[in-house]
Amino acid sequence: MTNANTVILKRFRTGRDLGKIIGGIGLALLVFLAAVPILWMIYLSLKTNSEILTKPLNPPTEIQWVNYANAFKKIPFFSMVKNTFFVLIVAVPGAIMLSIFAAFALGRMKFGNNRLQHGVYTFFVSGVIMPTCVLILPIYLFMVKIGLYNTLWSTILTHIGWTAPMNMMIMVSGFKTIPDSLEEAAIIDGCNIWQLLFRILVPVAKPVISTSIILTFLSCWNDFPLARIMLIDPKVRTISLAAAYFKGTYSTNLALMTAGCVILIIPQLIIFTIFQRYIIDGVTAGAVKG
Amino acid sequence: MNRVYNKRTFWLFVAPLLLFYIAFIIYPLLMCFFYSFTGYRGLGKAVWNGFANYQRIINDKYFWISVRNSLICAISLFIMVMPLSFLYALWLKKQTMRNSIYKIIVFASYVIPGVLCGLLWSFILKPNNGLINSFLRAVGLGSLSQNWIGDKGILSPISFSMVCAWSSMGFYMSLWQAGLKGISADVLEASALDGCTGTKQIFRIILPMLKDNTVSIIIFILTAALKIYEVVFILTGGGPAHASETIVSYLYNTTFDGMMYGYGMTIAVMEFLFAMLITLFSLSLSRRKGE
Repeated sequence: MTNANTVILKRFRTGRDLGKIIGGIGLALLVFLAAVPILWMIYLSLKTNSEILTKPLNPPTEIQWVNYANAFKKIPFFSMVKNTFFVLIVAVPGAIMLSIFAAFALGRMKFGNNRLQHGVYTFFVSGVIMPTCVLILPIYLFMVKIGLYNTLWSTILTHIGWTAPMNMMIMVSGFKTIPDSLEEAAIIDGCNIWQLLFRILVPVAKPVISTSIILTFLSCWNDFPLARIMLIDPKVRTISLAAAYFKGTYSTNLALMTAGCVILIIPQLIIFTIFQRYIIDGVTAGAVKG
Repeated sequence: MNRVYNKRTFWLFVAPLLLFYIAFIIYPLLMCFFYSFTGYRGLGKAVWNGFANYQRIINDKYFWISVRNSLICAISLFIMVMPLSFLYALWLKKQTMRNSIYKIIVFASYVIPGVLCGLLWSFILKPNNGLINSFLRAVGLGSLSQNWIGDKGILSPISFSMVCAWSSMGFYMSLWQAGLKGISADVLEASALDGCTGTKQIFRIILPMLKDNTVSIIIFILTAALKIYEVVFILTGGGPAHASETIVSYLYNTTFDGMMYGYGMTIAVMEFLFAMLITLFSLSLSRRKGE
């Protein structure tokens, strides 16, 4: 009797554990599925060109590290990375600096009946719905006219303008939540307007500013539609743009192309993993506010 | 306070960003509208030709194909993203070491530029030696293999949205999670005590409480579908014979590859109007919520 009871009890327990294990495996599979595209590319990059073409599933007869050596030799990674970083290093701080100034004015400067501030703010934020692809031709014609076409400056300046609505939306509300007393105390203590902004307000508004930095960074980083039109010379190609030409240039050399993609993606994944908490939180906060 | 701030300082601080905003968003938008009424092709002067472009676009078969494809992208993106991203969010809710590693894996694709996502997926979708079809053939289901890209029907836009779903899954997952965080444990406990558990709890308690999140995710999906371009550029280039164009890729191909600036900007105006439509839709939803 007691024996039968313990057997039933045991069975019950193993049943629950089994459910847990199956759930765990299911979840792991689902997560694995998300990683498949990248793993598949890495797998292909270790094979010869004809193996990729004819027997994509079969493991390589010999691991082809040489693909990576060839990729480094043939693909101008250095100039791609250099161009991308030049855009980021100028556009992100530039956009953030100007946005801090504007958010300071729109969120903190109280005078009159505040109608002016509200009007300018609405004008900015209405731009957030803009599908930017619509704007590229006029910007292209403008850049040709002022002689910045085919230079990295054309994309830098455009990105500063394009990220303005989003940054205003995030930052102005952040600046508005700072209590007035903090500002009054600073003014009584004799802060001038610059000290007030950079010593008092910016440190308090750090969370919204970092959200803006992340979103501005990502929108410059992910840009392709604009770069494709503005940057024609191979010397000024950014990462996205140069990668787009892999398809035409290396369509007969898939081994080189897969290795090239892996070389571009791995550093991105490492950087993402280091900053993942900030990036995920920043992107989510930006989206929730929008 | 008024001694510190006045109109002059206000304009001094606002003007630089405002200048960029006007130069790169407002001015180009106005020019876009202007060109849409001309037959401009990049040479000479833009000559006004009234509504000729708009008459043309109504009868343009390829434009309506591109609208259909964008719509298919939106629908299939919705079908793929909504349940899956919610499942990820729910299953990875508990904060453990394992879950945070899983979350990193799911989110990672969000930071990979669209062009590289397209290249990655070209090796999965290629009809002759891509992963999906090779796998199906290897397990004896070769009859299920499809012409994922390069087909004239609706498969290409579905493939595009597959790529977009993959790259944005983590984003939608964290939107759901931001909402889940707002539901207090008491509510869940109380409902569980009343016998509302498992799927019942999800559909009766959790989802109704996340209505706002659901609406904003739908809006994000619609906007994302309206902007699909990189993937089309890499996977099909809009072909064969414009059968797989999305609105944006058709806008690009017409404007820049076809050098038809005037007509291209007419497509751009339509794209802008669609974006406005989505915004009005989302505003009406949030207004109804406010009542």
